Amino acid sequence: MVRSRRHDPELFPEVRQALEVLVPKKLRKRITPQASILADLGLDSLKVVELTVLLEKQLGRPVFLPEWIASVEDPADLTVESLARFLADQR
Amino acid sequence: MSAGCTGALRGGILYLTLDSPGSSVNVVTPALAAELEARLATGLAASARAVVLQSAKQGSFVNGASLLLAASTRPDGPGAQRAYGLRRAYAALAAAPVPTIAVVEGNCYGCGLELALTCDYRIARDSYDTHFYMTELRDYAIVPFFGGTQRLPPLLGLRTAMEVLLGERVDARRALRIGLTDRLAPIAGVETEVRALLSTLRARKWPKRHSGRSRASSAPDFARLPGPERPLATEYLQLARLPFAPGYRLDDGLRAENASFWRSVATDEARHAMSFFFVRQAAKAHGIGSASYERPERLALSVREDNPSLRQLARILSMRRLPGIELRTKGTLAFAAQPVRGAFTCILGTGPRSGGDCTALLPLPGEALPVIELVPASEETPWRRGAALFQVLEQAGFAPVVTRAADRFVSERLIAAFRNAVGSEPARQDLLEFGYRLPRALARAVRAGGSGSGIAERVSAAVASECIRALDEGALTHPSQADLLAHLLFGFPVARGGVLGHVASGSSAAAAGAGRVLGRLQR
Repeated sequence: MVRSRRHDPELFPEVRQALEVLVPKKLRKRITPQASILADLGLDSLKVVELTVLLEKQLGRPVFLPEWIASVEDPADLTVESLARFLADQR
Repeated sequence: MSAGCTGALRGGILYLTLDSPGSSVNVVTPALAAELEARLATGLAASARAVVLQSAKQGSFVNGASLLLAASTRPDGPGAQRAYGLRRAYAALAAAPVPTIAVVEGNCYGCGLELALTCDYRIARDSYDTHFYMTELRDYAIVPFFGGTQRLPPLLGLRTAMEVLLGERVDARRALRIGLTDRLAPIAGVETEVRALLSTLRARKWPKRHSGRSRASSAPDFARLPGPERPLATEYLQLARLPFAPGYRLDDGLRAENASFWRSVATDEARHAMSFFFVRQAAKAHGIGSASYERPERLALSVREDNPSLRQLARILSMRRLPGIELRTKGTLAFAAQPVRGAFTCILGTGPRSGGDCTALLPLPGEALPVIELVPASEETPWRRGAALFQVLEQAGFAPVVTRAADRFVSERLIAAFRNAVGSEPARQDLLEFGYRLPRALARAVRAGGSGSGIAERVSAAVASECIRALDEGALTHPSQADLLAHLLFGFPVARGGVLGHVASGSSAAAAGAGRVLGRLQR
């Protein structure tokens, strides 16, 4: 599936802000829409949980990432962009 | 930077040390497995006479596999390729031509236990945090992937192996008794025990282990298992019987296990259960601000046995033996009936908010993993000051949950709601078929019979309703705490996800309220 990459997805700034807290300093420049949260940014499952808490604070509503995780067949496809889109769709 | 496995050859012995980077516990990742395989090959090429596999983490041998592996659901996708690469490391360790020893200090869960099983010999540290637990059935509703169903039965006999596979937690002492390990090491004597085993092996010219005890003993009765676990348990049993068949080859058994695994991960039950992992961790992160498993290296703890609850706690803590945790008359962390000067005090055995730094309740102290509800005295959210207490309790085998209860503890309220909904109707069978795994104290209060009465759904709705009230009042601060409490107190089945989500998708009167607290009706 080809999607337009001209604009950063909606909620990307929020996701990036939360990720900047959790991603080690030297990997922070890799936080792009296409980055894989597990493979490129090195988050483990416990960090993904902490990401949930940060996102809930920013968005002011419960966030259920398991549904996002279950939305791909290969967990390497869990990208920053797909997370931002998932969160936008949940509203 | 190491991916989590370093190797050192000393005195002809190859020491492989697991140390997952940036994590408080060891987690098997594709990179760690590749590194383990490479270090092993290097060591063997340098003529190592034996291999010692150990952990650098205080409370963790291996706690599980990374999400990058665990969330793969297709046998032919790239996720699966990574998983197969990982299994190559297990195979390489199993095929090492020299004796291999797993030194287990700390949690040995799921694929970690299976990693220890690829070794010839196992030494376990005699502390509670060193316990063995196959997580796959109870926590993830899947079939093991790394040989557990094939390596446990020949080692333990069919019956005991099935108990372990079905999720019995085995502490280091029991592990020795049932033959899961070969030696028990005192907390301060692990290295001595490793050296002793190496000397024995040297004297015997470095033998590999001979095949284990093969006892095709009778299988446990599945009638008492919660309904959703039974089909999977039956599949486990079919796999566990394979090693006792004439002409059995391990490779064939592993292939059968593999096929079952991929079938199991694609089910709704497995998806729900995976969600539950996040529920559990989210409740912790909301409680203390972190989902990690860190605890202080050394901590002095005191328990003033002034009431029955404190005596129960003291008894459990003294049996659990945690490295670095000393039970003393004066500690920096105290459990007491009244505030203790100079110590962070947890008041136990009275109501919530009755002083100290926090109050606590042990609603079901007789369980293997007793819930302990913690109510901070301060409004600090998340409760970072209570993190050390939480982590110590968790690693000592309690299930801590942080709430903001006011007049009554939330767990008391939920238990009352549960008992009320069950009433005096025969309900035991219906609750079991639905998947409830009731603690003994509650099971005794439920009348036998009742299949098909639909009472399980009514009970779930009643528990959810009480959770919704607690959330609205602020006694619970996040829906994950409600889902976790329903699971911990009543064994609400992970295969159905959380109680709130389950009730929200149903048609009971509580459905709308559950949807609301989950934030699902905002659009």
